[in-house]
Amino acid sequence: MMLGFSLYILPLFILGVIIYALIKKVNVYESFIEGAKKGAGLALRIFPYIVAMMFAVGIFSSSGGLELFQKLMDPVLVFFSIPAGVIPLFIMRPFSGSASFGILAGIFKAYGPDSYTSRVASTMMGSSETLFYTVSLYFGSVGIKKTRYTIPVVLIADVIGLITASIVCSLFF
Amino acid sequence: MINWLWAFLIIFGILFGLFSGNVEQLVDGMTSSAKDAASLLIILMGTYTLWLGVLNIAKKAGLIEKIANKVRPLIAFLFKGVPRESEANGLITMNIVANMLGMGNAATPFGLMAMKELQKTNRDKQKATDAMCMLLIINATSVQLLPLTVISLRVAAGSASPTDIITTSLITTFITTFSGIILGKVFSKTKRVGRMLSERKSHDAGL
Repeated sequence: MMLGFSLYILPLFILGVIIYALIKKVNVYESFIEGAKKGAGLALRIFPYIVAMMFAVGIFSSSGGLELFQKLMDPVLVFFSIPAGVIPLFIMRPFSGSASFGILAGIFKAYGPDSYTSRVASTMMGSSETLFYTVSLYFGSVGIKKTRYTIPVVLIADVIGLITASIVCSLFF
Repeated sequence: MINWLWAFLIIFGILFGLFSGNVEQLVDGMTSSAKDAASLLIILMGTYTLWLGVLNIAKKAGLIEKIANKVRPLIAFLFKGVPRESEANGLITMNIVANMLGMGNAATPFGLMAMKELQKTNRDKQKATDAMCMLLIINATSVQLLPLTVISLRVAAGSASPTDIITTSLITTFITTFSGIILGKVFSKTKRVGRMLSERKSHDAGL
């Protein structure tokens, strides 16, 4: 039901914008073209950052180093009753959206989509974003080199998210 | 920090791959990433072009200003130091709204345009302003109301109740975004901590 509703967001949004603009006597076609001209350039400008990020993440995730980190984190997990299965997702999540979706699909397969582990993983996935990708795109596109407190703050928030997801899921399910 | 992290991913990945004998997979990961990035570029070019076109219609119609005015007190509190007349206000609002609705493809070009506007009034062009950090924090802690991609993946995996993670995700994302904002505000206030962190980054390999 909610899924059905969200399907309407996009068409209704576009419809609303066009009708509103026409009422305001805006030449919608000309305006579209004028704005659209910047699109390809914007994508090209962030392209080097995308390649750099995907290259490094590709190497890291294909090397098998993820399992090592998982083992290192084991004692912490027991303390917060975090399911161990979500750790590869937790590590990969800040780096790559597509890689973490691959991991999430793997978790569903290994534990079953309605298991506690899968629910914590789903909750984490639905409440976080790819930090390093976002940071390199947003700051890279305008030439910012000093990102100051951005990365530490989001990493702390991610840890809070992991613990919260585990607690909330154990209360709900 | 990105510098060290990037180097760490590559060095650790290559060394670990070499020693554990995953060489074939490693080489595959290296070569396919450039190819994947190129096909992603084509998709991004299309979606950014589309969304910047739509955005411009909304801008010309005064729609963005109207939406931005409605949430101005909140935006002004979160993004201190942004001039009232700056276009960044509207773009930031659009970025957050698009993120909440799960339109990630639209949110990114809006956010990138907002960064460009914020950079115009930035005195030190290499150093992020508090408003820039806040925009990144809000984007990276996710404000999505309906995690659609996760739900569709759950459907595909044959879940009996694919949507039951909506509530838990909402609670969790609220808490992470809220703590991100609080932490960001604290860090921006305590200049010493901010300076200490930005100096330490050159010694810190991250993670």
